[in-house]
Amino acid sequence: MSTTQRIRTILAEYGRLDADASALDENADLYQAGMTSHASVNVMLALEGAFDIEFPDHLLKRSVFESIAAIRDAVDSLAPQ
Amino acid sequence: MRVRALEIDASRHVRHATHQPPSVWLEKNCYVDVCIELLHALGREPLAMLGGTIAIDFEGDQWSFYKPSHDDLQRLYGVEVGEMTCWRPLLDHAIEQLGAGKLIATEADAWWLPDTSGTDYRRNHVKTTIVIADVDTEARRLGYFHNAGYFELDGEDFENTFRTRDEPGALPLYAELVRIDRLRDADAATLAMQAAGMLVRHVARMPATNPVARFTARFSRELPDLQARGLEHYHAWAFATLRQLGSSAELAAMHLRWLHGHAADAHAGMHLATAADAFEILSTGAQAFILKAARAVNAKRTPDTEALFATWIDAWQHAHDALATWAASPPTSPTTP
Repeated sequence: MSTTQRIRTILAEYGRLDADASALDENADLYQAGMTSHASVNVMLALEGAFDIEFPDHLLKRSVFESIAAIRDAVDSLAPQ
Repeated sequence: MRVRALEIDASRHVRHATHQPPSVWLEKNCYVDVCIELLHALGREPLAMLGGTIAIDFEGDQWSFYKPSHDDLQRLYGVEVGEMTCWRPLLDHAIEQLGAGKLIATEADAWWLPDTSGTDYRRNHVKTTIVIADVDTEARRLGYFHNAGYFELDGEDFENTFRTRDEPGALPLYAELVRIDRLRDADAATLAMQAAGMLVRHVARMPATNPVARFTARFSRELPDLQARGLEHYHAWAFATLRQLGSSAELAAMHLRWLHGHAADAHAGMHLATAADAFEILSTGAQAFILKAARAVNAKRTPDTEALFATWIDAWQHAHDALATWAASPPTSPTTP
């Protein structure tokens, strides 16, 4: 499964989006799509668990979790090469 | 019958800047959020009423659940808020009061508020505050301010929000009448001068000891208990603590920058900007820490917080000291009517 697909699966389970995570444009604003700050905490923890990564302090900000593309960029920058 | 105190189209309501990016806390707390959006809908500048955010304190198991004072709302905008006696059904009060051009701020159960679909709608019974602005009794539709927006609900949500079915023994909801018939329309400079006078009072109300130092010490002691209780408990803790601290700091910074923009005295303005910078450190820091602390709770690890907490403690002290210096030479003519 691709990184993007795994992110969509996590968003479907933890993001509590109003939209279908599997069909959402990867640049769509997830907060506009209904993700609350409460949900974003659970999304972050699920991402760390799924990809075996830890977001460093400078990536613990709203903008990193605002779209599928932004999340993928962050995950790609942290995943083992 | 349709009664409305304001004519607002929920699909066209544009949120105030405090509720849009680049703000980092898109929702603050339910009460201050509805005040901001109501004033915004009335064409008034909500930033003027936010001086009280500088004075919130750490109260042991929570930070102050901050609200604009009724006094500030009346002096700045002519908006008068007072408790409403709920002696008959809320819907009857709404028909009467909205028909007279007044709004009602009332407790509500988020279980029945569809705008909370991402959190509590049909999931959790959570007390929140809405402002009733538009009621259609035939269509069973309600237009209401809640959190960062203006929304509509209907059907079963309408019946339960207004508790139209008999609930023997149920306590009436706490509600407030919001009168807007004596709205003031001050220009920005006058509003800023009034707000500056109020800020002097709020500076005097700032905690006598550094509340961030007390909070961070408590967090370090309490982390094992948070870890033992798990994530759901953590979310409730984070709302009562980090969200109130971070969101109030963001609003404080916005208020101070707005005042700075209208400051006639550049030297005095410098102190306001210094304090705003310090509050922004607390705001962005608290948001990152909500995520970091969640990881610590979830993974049952102890994060290294020494340097981070030292930065926060210094930031609050810098904000306090800058504002105390500013207030020692208050702005000219800080009087309010």
